[in-house]
Amino acid sequence: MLVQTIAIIGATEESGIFLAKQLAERFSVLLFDEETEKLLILHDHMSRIKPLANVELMNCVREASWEADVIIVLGYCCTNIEIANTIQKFATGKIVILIAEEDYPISTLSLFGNLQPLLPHSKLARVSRSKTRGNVALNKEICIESIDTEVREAVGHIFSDVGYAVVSN
Amino acid sequence: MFEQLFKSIQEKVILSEAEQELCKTFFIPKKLRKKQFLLQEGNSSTYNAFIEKGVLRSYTVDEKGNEHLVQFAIEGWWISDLYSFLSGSVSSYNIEAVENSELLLLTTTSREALMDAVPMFERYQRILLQNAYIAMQTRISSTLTETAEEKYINFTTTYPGIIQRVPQHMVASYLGLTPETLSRIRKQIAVRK
Repeated sequence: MLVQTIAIIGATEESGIFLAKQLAERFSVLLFDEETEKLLILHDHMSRIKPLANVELMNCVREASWEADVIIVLGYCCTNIEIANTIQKFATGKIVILIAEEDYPISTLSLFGNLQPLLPHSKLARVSRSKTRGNVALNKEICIESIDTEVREAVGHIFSDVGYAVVSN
Repeated sequence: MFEQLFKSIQEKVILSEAEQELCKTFFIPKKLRKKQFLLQEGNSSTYNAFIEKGVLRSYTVDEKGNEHLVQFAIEGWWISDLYSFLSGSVSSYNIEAVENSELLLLTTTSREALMDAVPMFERYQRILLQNAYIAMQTRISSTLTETAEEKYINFTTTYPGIIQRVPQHMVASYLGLTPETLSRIRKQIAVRK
């Protein structure tokens, strides 16, 4: 699968900022968040630290999902029904990566159970940072959960391409 | 999002509404910006793409770095490197958006699954392949036998309106002409009108 473009929904979450910086090394990144002011600050910051990176603000989650090859959904957006309904048509057949960190505790079973009916034709994966290191922001070890082995592998490739190490739970 | 697809399908086979709704679940909707690639040489072709909106081109690059345009695809057309798509082998083609485009993508797995789930879709694919083979024979014959002017006139018949949407050097590449020769032919035709 040729992955060129990744959409990050909920980009101003703490993990989103770090993730956007990493992914922009290798992919075109489309950023969306309902907090538009924070998003502008993030984009401005990224333009300064990575002027050559292909990072774009999107004012429409639908368009971001339509253009993306892979969709990453962060934090509170993972359980936002409105967002799931909006992107449903445009996420058909695509990998949707859910990242809901320690400050937003929800089991993977619940997460998939809630979201799969809303995104019935998307391939869900959950990525969480390994708990082996204390400094969460610098932790580049991740765990990937998905029902589908091929999806786990594909997500593993995406993250390892930008320097993450995939570990088992 | 599926208007052109079902228009293309209904020209060849009949699908019920339920079958149409089922078909939709197999396609990946994808927007491609101008100059973004659907396929780059050296990779294997993951998708067979249907064009809802826009224009794509398929081309190879020779050892001297010259591009050779093999196919345009406009609304209602399919495009892929079929050999690479079906066999998984590495492609020598590049497929690029000439303008911002909206595509519906099928993977090999989803295509097989769709043909199983909707048998009429398999018939539609068979008819497309027949037509594509005939078109290929016609293009080979045209390349071997037609004058430059005849090639250009046939091109404008096959791709109506495309002259306004693609750069002239791409049309020249597709016809196997230099841009200067194409420019001369177009002027001759314009003068005769």
